[in-house]
Amino acid sequence: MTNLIIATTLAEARNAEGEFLAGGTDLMDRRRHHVSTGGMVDICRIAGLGEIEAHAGGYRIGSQVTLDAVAQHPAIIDHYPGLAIAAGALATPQIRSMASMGGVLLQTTRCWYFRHEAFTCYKKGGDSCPSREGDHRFGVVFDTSPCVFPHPSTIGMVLMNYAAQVEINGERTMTMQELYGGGTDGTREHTLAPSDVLTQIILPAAVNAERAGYFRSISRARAEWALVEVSARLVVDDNDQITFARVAVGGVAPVPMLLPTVNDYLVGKPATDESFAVAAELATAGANPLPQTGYKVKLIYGTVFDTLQRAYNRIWSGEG
Amino acid sequence: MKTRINNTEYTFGEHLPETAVDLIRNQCNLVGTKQVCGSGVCGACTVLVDGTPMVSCLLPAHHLEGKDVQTIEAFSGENLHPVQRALMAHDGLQCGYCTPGFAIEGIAFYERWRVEHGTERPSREEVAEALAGHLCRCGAYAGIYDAMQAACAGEFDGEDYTPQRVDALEKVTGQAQYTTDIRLEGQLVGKVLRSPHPHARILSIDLSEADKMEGVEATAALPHRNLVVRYVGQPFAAVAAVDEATAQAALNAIKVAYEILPHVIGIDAALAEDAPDIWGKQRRDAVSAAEGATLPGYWDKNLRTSRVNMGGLLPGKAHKVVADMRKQGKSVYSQSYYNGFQVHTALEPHCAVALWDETDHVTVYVSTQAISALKYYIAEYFDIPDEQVTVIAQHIGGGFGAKLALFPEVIAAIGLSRRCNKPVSVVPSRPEEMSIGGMRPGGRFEITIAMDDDFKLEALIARAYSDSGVAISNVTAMMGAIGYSGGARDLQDHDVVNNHAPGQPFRGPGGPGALWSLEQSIDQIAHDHQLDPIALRRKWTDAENLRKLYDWVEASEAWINRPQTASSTERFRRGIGVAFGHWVHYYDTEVVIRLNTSENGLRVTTATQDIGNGVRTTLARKTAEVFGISPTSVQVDVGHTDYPHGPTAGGSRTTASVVAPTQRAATLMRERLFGLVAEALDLENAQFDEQGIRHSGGLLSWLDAMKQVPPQEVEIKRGPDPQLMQYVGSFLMGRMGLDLMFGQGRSHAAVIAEVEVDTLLGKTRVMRVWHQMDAGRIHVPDMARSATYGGIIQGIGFALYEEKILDVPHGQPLTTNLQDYRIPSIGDTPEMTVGFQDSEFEHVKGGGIGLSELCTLPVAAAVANAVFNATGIRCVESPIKPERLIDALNAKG
Ligand SMILES: Cc1cc2nc3c(=O)[nH]c(=O)nc-3n(C[C@H](O)[C@H](O)[C@H](O)COP(=O)(O)OP(=O)(O)OC[C@H]3O[C@@H](n4cnc5c(N)ncnc54)[C@H](O)[C@@H]3O)c2cc1C
Ligand code: SF4
Ligand code: FES
Ligand code: FES
Repeated sequence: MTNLIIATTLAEARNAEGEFLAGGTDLMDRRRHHVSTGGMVDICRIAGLGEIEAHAGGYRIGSQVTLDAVAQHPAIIDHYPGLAIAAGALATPQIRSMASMGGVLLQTTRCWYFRHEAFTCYKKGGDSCPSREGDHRFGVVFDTSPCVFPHPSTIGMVLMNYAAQVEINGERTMTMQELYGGGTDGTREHTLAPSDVLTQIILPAAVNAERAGYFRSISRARAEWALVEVSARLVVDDNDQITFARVAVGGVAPVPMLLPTVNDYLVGKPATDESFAVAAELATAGANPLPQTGYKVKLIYGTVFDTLQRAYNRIWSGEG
Repeated sequence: MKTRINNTEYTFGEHLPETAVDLIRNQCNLVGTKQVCGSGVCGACTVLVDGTPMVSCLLPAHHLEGKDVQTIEAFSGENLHPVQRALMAHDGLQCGYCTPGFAIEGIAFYERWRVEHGTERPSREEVAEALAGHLCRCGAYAGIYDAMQAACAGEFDGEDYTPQRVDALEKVTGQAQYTTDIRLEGQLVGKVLRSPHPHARILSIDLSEADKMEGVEATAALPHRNLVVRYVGQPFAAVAAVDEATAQAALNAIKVAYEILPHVIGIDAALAEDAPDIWGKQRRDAVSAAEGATLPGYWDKNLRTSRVNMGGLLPGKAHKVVADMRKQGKSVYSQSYYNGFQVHTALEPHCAVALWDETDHVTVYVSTQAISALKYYIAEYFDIPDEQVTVIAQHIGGGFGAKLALFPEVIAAIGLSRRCNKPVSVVPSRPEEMSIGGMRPGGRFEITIAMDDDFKLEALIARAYSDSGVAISNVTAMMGAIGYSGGARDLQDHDVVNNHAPGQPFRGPGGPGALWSLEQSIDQIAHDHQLDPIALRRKWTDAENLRKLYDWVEASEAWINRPQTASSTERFRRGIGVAFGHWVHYYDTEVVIRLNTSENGLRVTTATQDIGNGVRTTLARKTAEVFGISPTSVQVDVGHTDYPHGPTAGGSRTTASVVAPTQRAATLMRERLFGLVAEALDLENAQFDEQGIRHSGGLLSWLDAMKQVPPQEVEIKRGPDPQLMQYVGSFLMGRMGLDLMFGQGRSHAAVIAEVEVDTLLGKTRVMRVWHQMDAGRIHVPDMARSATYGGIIQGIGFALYEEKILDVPHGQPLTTNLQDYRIPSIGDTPEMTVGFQDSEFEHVKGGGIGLSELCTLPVAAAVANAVFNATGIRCVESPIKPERLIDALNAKG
């Protein structure tokens, strides 16, 4: 490959021309289908990005760590169960062995117009959204951006729910919200500059006795992109009262969504189906679906409800 | 770059391809690894990298630096793995195209499992989880489950196994050669230029830039005078170049001037007042979506109405009956049903490699269901004598009806090769294949049913408005004529042409859609009138074979214990549904089976092809049975037109066409051997025995007997059944005479499906399926069972997941990859029980008829009826995706 640069240091990577290549599970697909055609800068050989380690009271995950490694890691399983479940549930076993944590956060949209050679759109430097005018059945329910396809990253949604931060270029950190922006820029999935390398993911201190769940709504048993996906974290006291709640939802908005009103509602409530049902209803507040995405509002309800139950019951499965 | 692949050290130069799959297939020529989806979903390209399964289609080639890679080729001979033996023994494969990927993943799973669990048997869920990154379009999942469980449990750790298919070993070791694997000396890459517009007139095509490019060896274009393209993806020019990138660049360099014409997508738009007339004066050129010839019909702009209205069914009376009953205030059932487009999605795309020699003879490797027919099509198209065409298809990665015709990739490969005198391959990309590789037409089916006071059928009116893009000649409503009897009928088929790629015959053309409507209507009528659905059907037919199937349903535990419709208020609701299917049967009269003996034993040849239907196995078994030997000691050669005429794998005709002549040839050969050998060896008291020739000196086995005399040959032609034929047709439109017979009698199938509907998330899972068929003698039960499993799984795809979606403003297909086009995966596979009902088809030579279309027909309707039983929701539209069902569930409350 003539248009490939294999970087061995951050500086080299940052100065090279081209799109960063990590596991390749997103980028190589776009290249094969002529959606990405420029140069590539491989960042896999940069040292120090492949570890999971204790850090500042929490944990730190290098951007080159694979999803599978995260899903299998004992400390992650213990302290951040919602992350481990999700990392072990998305895509396929082969993809999870290849895909990196950096790549999963910064992957490009799965919109079928975007990945179709014949179309141009905001995300390809164009000035329109053919999906809005055409078919948008997999589109957003919270329509805040000129681009109507939801953010693709399962792990981005989960990490947001864990209040994680990311380290950029080994220099600065930003919150997940800062990484993804406010969901109004239709041209990009995140706010990094093309020369920015995501180097680490920083997880805050674990929450004691956390019960977590991750679940997605899909049509088949497995290995399908979520229509709606939810991360839920709960702590309940000895009387089954909820003392801590964090719920986030993906597949419905230009960026993953936290649900603070749902969290606020749940805290202090008994961990019952009744509470979960009210929470699930609250999760749909403010939805303004597109003509073809009304069904997703009902799926938000169902998926939030189901994931809360799973979290409470500690069900270790994100699919099926 | 240095990489260890299958224990060999490779050193690769500077110019690596981008992905590992291209490195492995093209530079190392390890073509057992397949590339199908190119986007990480199907797993066909899976290899082990330092022991971990990875999809090589997304793996950057340079990531293999310093790695230890194992491809399927590493697992053969002495290294054959227990998982591969298990796959062969449990028939976890049909066409075999997905098999290397499954085997590699299965091997990795087995090794992990053994370390952690010893010989404990993994659950279906555990197997499904491990194989979630693999897709099999033939639907071999039942065998794969069994194989994985048995292998992990240690049942195949020894060397012993009995393969169900005679070509299983080639398939599980990646040795089976498909058209995509052909690598001839100097082979060029051909690519086809396709219309980006759904409707346009081509004003000019300028190939000159492309012609001048270095590495471009041939270009070709259709004559463009008055050339109108009517769908996105319609091919009209092609190039051949030294490599993929050059060919792509050459395509981009072709300058085409289009006059954009207005287009329409969808039935309603095509029938609207202001819609453009799509075929206009060129209606004669409209392609047929049907299996046979184009049925006569008449046009009203984009609406074409078939003139065939199953004569003698009294269409006028049907309307009168309905009108009268309505007048009398009696209830008449009337409902419209809708079906989406199901894409064939064979894992091997439509592809061809062609090479001309100095004598003007062309050899074409094609992924086809019809080598014998294709030979004549090619000769006709290129205007050369039949003898100058050889068609070869050793293995075919699935067809399902879409590979019957002379498709554009074949024409392009042959045409380009003729221009440059070099071998040219044309292999479409997955997006091309998903866009134009064929689909089952969708559309609207309006049904009206009137019954007398005793619920006997009085009138049946069916109007099908089929959408097969620009193609015509759909037969859907007419399916209402087979199955139930009585009453007046008006069965009218309409095609509504609009600007998207033509539909093609798909396993039981018209059947699943017609039954989706008819069998759901019956279910609904029964429900509305508080009748038992089987009792109601009994009033509609007294056919003996069907009655037996009704008895079977009524005796089934699942049916007896079915829940009351919509009786549950739980989140997960179980439902049981039943549906029936009926089919005609065909056979090819001209099929010739050639049987030879030699030192090496028996050899059977015929110019058919094994698309996963197991015809090699059928031929081997039927021959072996006569000689009382093992099927593996019969050499079967198919897939080459040098052999005598063999059947097309379409219309479920293969088994019905080959079995009788094979048995006859074997029987004659045995008799001949007896006479010749007894005489040549001067055997005393020679007596005919099933095992061989018994004589005073002992027993001379048939295999030994063959060695005593010079090689023998017997050829037997199938010929027509003695019974009067109801209808005789020809697929070859006069070229070969009357090769296709419409046999007498009908086959029938009953399906009971059990579903679980998650009412919170609108998701339907098929848990179990019981399937019973009436198709005469079942010649090779395990092949029949495997085909039926596949038919059930494809029926589930039709019912629940599969739908080709088009962007209306641009006429572009959107479901161009295997993530957005969802075929059933292993986790979606129900537990299946398949049975056969003894029945008399004594008027048919061999006593058995085809079943591989029949088996899929009623599945989708049974699933829909089960969803109704679970929820009380009548799903008129297929597929029943969460997107649709969740709204209906909420509307119901
Ligand atoms: C069948 C299938 C199903 C899938 N299902 C899901 C799913 O359900 N949920 C989900 O979230 N994902 C899913 N994915 C997507 C998958 O998770 C991503 O493709 C993968 O995580 C990307 O990681 P990678 O290392 O391969 O990235 P690459 O393909 O190498 O890169 C992806 C993008 O990120 C950029 N990038 C990567 N790393 C860095 C870095 N450190 N700094 C800066 N930029 C970087 C690259 O330039 C590129 O633009 C699925 C994929 C497949 C094939
Ligand atoms: S939804 Fe977004 S990615 Fe898709 S076409 Fe519109 S702008 Fe492009
Ligand atoms: S070809 Fe690689 S996963 Fe399908
Ligand atoms: S056997 Fe799996 S695709 Fe044919």
